[in-house]
Amino acid sequence: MSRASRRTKNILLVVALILIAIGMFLSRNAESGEFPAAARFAVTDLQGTGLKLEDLITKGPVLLDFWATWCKPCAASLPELQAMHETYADRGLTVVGVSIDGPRNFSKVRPFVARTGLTYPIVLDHDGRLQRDFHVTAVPTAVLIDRTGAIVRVRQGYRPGEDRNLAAEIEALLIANAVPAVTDSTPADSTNSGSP
Amino acid sequence: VKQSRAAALLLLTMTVAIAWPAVLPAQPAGTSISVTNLMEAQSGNTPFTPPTNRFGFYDQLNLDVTTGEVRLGLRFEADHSSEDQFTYDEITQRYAEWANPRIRVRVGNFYTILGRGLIHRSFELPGVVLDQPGLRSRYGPSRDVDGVLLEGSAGPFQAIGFSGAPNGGDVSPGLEPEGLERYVGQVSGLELSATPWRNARLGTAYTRVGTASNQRELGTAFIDVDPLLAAGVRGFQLPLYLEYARENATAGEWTSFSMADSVPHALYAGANLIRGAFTLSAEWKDYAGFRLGTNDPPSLVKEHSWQLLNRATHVLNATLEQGFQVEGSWSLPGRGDVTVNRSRSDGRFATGPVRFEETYVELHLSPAGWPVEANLFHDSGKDEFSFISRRRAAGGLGRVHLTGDLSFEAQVERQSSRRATENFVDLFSSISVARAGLGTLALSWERTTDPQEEDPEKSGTPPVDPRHFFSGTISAPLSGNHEIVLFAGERRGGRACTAGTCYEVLSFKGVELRLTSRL
Repeated sequence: MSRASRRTKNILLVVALILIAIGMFLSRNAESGEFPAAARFAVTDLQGTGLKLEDLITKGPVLLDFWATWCKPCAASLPELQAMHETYADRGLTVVGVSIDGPRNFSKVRPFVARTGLTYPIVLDHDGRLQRDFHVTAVPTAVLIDRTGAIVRVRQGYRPGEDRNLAAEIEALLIANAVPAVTDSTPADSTNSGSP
Repeated sequence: VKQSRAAALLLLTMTVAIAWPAVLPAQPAGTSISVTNLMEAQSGNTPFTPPTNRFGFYDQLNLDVTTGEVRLGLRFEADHSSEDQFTYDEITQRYAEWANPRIRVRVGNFYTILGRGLIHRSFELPGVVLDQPGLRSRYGPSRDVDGVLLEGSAGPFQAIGFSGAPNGGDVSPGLEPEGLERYVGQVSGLELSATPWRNARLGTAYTRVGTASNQRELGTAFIDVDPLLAAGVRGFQLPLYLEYARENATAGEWTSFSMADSVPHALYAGANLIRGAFTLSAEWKDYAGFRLGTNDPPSLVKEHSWQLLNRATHVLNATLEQGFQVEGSWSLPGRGDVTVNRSRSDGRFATGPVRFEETYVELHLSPAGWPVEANLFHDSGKDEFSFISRRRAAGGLGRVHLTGDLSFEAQVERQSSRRATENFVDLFSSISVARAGLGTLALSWERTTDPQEEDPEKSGTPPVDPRHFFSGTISAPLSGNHEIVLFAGERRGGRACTAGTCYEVLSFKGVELRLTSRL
């Protein structure tokens, strides 16, 4: 096989792989309205409290915020996340800050959290597992997970004022949670009872 | 022809990524698919390097499929350029994983850390794309291990075990056909740890690393505890971390805690004192003969986000280095905070001792209820590792929230340095306007009188002709799943650090487009 034809084949391979991946994504969202499922995780926060996604979503939506002590946009976004925690925690939202600081900055995380006045749980992504499971390619990245465990929104980067869009989506999820799920509470056999 | 082909590929990828309608059936029930694609295209080249219209296209696709407790994944990378050298399209990582709440088994490429990374840390730098200096082939830097990883926990006990071939992270897949291997040697490790009470962890770990003819064995033990929390003291936090590692040591030798330069060892100790809005952190390191290539001991020099300080930072050489870092901060709620940092690294080489040290002060002003915030900093020190006998830097950043959605930011930095008999000055400034949900427009200007970066055609004749770097960047979300960044102008190269790891970035002049798609 000539170099040119091998190159053409390689290019076609790249394009085909990208097409397949994007097609799968678009079909999922456009046709079925489904969202990708969040990777299940069980971690321990800085206070030693265990956090398990399966348990957190029973209370309501979960907002994972990937940040780092050296990241200026992250620092700018944290007050708004703290405000979301204060506003929505009672209604079921759990905000979890995931520090992607490496070993070089592990010891900076607690002082940073104290200085910034964050009161929501913070976890250290020691081995980078959460970053990879959630495909984080930049910080800050906020991932909103609904009660079914699906990722309904990913916000990469931060611009002042963008918290309002995120807050609106959280509000919508919380309202949906608050509406009694009539069909879910109906006994299974009653739907097939054949009653007039 | 090559450029047309690459341009066609770029256009096709962009079109598909943004607008292609669904053509494949929905995923099977109970199966979740996650895809992220990072595409970067460049037209231009490193300054003073022909051709000036070099075209490059890099793509990285990460695909994960989860079904119940099983997870499969791969990374596909491709790099092509108009020079048609060191190009590749291949699956660079793949794995299969089975995990339940107690056990995780992974076969293929993986990342992990033992202790604080003194004897082993495998990791990657997400979102970073590097260009192989000299040979020009782009890749996503990854220091993964290709092998088997086992993790388990039972009650307060945890265990990690692994074995595989380590990736040095400094070779592009495009260079493998030339005989440069990405995965060299073997690394195996085991860590046993326990959490006897809340917020306390202690453990021990062992690794064996090297090639068949050159094996190194290393052992470590660590403790991570907050004695005040354990004692029930409220109002104060005092988290402490201590880890000591040795090579080829018996238990008796290990407990001698030798710090002699002739004994390969690594000591890392860190402490925080936190009392409300006041925090104090102190760290100490002492490394000798611990540059393994498969570990990542903490550097201790502060990681800066300021452009000039980030470039002028110190890169750890664990062959023979010791030092400390102390940082204090105090915040006034509704007004801002102040941070003071002092760090030092002493290298001991055959040619004599060398020192990096700096004193850094930052003031952050954020008055409650005001649509304005500002950061001001001053930094002074020296870096004898880079022959800088004196360095001073100062600068600031101001951000104004013009309306609810619109914000404006301006940043200025200045650094003066002395290298041997040369004095030079670096300047950096940028302005940006951002609108929530729409995007950001940023313009930057950088100037340097560093003789080492002078235009080769003008160098050699004093005074130094300053180099200027102008650039503009537009970044914007495209729908909820795509983020586009368009750069045009000249980018200064040099050292850069992300997430605690430093690497060299090539300078670039031209146009660069980056599209990140989350699928």
